Amino acid sequence: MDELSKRLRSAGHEAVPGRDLWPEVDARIRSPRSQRWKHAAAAVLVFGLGVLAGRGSTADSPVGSHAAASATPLHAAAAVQRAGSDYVAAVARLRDIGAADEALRAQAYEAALGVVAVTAQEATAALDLRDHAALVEEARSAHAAASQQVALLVRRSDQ
Amino acid sequence: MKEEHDGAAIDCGTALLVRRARDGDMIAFRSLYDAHVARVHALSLRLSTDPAEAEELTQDVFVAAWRQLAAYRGTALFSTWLHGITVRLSRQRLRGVLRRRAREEKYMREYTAALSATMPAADIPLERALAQLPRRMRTALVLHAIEGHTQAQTAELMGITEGAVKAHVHKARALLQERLDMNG
Repeated sequence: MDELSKRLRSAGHEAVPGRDLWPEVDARIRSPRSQRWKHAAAAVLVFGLGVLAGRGSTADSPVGSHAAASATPLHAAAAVQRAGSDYVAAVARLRDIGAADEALRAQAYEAALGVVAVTAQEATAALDLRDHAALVEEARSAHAAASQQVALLVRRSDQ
Repeated sequence: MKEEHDGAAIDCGTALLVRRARDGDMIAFRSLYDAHVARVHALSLRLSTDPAEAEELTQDVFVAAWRQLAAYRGTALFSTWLHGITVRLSRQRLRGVLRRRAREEKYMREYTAALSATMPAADIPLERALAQLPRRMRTALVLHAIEGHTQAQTAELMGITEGAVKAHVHKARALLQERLDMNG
């Protein structure tokens, strides 16, 4: 074995942290995950749709007038706000699922998070399009699908 | 609690702790943390070359491990599984700025000071040269030549081909040798 290989093999495998990291690890594990991801998911969705609404109002957009007619920034913003409120309320109901249904609750959270992730991706990908009216419509459809999915999960959990 | 390094299944102690931790037993998870934090932190230090980032990354790894325990099947060593999480999270966290910082003497002093404090008998000239390698080369070399993973395991941990691992390791060794020869 050459000298470099020997030195690499002899390099230490362990480095004790200079301070105790466990308290923060413990705190993060114990913090209510549902709160964090619910807020983050709602923020992503509302922000993404809000950005789309703002872009739909760009004066020099080639389809600006069409966008204005079919989805003014005010209409889009109002839709975002309603959708955001509905979505957050639906997700908040997941908290009411009892401890006996912990497995179902975990599945519901994961599914809802997955839907939000897809929604956010669609909203983000849509920003690459030039047709702003299509942007807003896509975002609305994606959000509607996400809300329906969450509502379905909540209904199932209530049965 | 000792882990086998010959590819055999993990020992009963670790398996029992993982099972209990999966059921929500924080004391069991704390035991796993205590047994592996130094190893994860060493890898985090070498991947980040930044003491503060290494501590954040180490915390992230264990938080992620707690949440992904259900995904651990026991076919690989628990430390290997943690290494995989470390590599994946480091890709997300670390950016080019850290690589550039490694070339700045001020940050290099902080990094080697942290190494000396946390890793007894650290080979500082070697660690300095390692820190200056491009990130992917450094990752491949650390996982393969220091942590002892095979090329196949390293490829899986990094999400690249074995051929890419081989190339990274070869180039990394050449660069390392050059730097170590220059610095004496």
